[in-house]
Amino acid sequence: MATFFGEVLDVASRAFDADDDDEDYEEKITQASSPILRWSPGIRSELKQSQDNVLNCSLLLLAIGPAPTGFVQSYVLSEEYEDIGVIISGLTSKDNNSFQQSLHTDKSCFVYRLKRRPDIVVCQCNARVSAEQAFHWTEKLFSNIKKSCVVILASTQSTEYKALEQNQTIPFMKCLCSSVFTEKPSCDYLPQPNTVSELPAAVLNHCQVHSIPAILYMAYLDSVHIDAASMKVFLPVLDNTFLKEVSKVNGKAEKSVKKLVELNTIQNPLYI
Amino acid sequence: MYVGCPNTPTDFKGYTLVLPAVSVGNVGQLSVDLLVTTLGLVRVGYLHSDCVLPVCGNDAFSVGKDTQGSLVTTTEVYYSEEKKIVVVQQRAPHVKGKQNEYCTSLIEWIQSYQFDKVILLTSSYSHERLDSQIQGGRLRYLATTALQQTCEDTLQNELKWLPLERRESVWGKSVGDSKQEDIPEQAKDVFIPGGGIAKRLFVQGCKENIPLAVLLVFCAEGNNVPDALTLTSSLNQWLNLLPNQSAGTPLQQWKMPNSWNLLFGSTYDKTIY
Repeated sequence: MATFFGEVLDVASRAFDADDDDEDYEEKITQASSPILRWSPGIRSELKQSQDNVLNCSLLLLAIGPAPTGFVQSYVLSEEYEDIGVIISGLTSKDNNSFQQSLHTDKSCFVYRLKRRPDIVVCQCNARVSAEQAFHWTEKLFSNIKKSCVVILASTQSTEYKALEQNQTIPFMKCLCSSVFTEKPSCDYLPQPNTVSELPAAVLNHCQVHSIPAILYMAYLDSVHIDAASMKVFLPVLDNTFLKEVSKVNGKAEKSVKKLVELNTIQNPLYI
Repeated sequence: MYVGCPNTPTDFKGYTLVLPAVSVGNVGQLSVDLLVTTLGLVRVGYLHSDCVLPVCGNDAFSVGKDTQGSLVTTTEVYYSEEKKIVVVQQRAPHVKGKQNEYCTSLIEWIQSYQFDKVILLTSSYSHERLDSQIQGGRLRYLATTALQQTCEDTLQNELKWLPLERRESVWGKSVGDSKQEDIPEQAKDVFIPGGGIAKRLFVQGCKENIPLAVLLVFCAEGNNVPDALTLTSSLNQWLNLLPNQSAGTPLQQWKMPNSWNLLFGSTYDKTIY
């Protein structure tokens, strides 16, 4: 494309990446590892004993991102729980993995189960799963979990939200659900033309294609770092049938929220 | 790859399959949106594949003010029994490096379901046109030998469409270039810059003897709705999808879905000025 001053610029297309024509690229497909799922020894023996290698699970709660995982940590995992598994994906040879999600190169997502309600499985996904890995990550997670209700919590920037009138109080929440989900959602549907991508979309698509009742709650936040409001925007999710008796809005949750916000602020002291 | 919705037909023998390629201006995908919305096609299944990036949203084809909570996923399949047409809509780009795998899976699906003919809707960079292509119509087509046997007369003589001009590579053929030798004669020197998987699918379609046509318009990035209207109207001239009585401009003939609102982003807060 020639410009006003006569120099020729490469034209970029929003739809089409010129690299895609490079056939050699196929050999350079990401060197990062594909997702690996490891269950704890207790779960492995449970799976062996079950009929079709499937965990007994009536609700799978998946939290993706700092605000949703903070919310689940405070309000759902406030009582006793056990680690039952881990999914690691996207590790390259240069990454170090701490298994405690304390390094910025950590790529592990942990799976927990409440001791009082072992049919509720919680997956905390604080590490970023790339869009290319999302499909296989989802297949791994659902390889031993079938026929349960799925609740996905995710968040994104409020600037991603497209609407004719921007009169929502931020933060706010919208939802999308699979066609076999029968419960009443706790908030409004995400209006057109907004879309959801990456891991939350991959999980919801999997549930839609395999007729699993699932709902995705997407929070639109205005702060880059997590704060109390960003986590509390998910409170209406606790009206879900399975979560009602599990979660209690009590002082312990407030303390946990405060602690998480403080931890985050210490790591980011530039703007207080 | 194909997962059907519960209680839907699975026999598409003799149907026409229309697919979009993710290409410059997203013209093929916009075209499919028009087809599905105007013809009221019904979802019959999904193309569940790891070769396409994940995306989902709400009720892409509603018209008017209703917002139902009906989920749409990355790649979905719609059909009409009356028009004997199956249409695929793809809403996200391919995963880098997986285009060949996607084309192979697509060809296998096409062969197993025995579609009568396959039409790929795509577009190509208008700035890459030859001098001879700058004047005249912006529509071009390519057809495999298998399709030429049944449709060449309609396309060239009745509709008077122009076949895409062949272009030899400016770099010439290098010695021992095995990739070039693999390509069947009918697919040699095909050049569709910005066309997405169009060339790959056409080459594989020639090798596997699929009755495949590639329909493209030359365009640039921008407001590509008029390009989509051109492509869809041309397709309609061939397949006669709309009732004959619907006269008028393409803008009047084709309905636009709600997912086309705010194509260029949200409105801005005017109080900042």
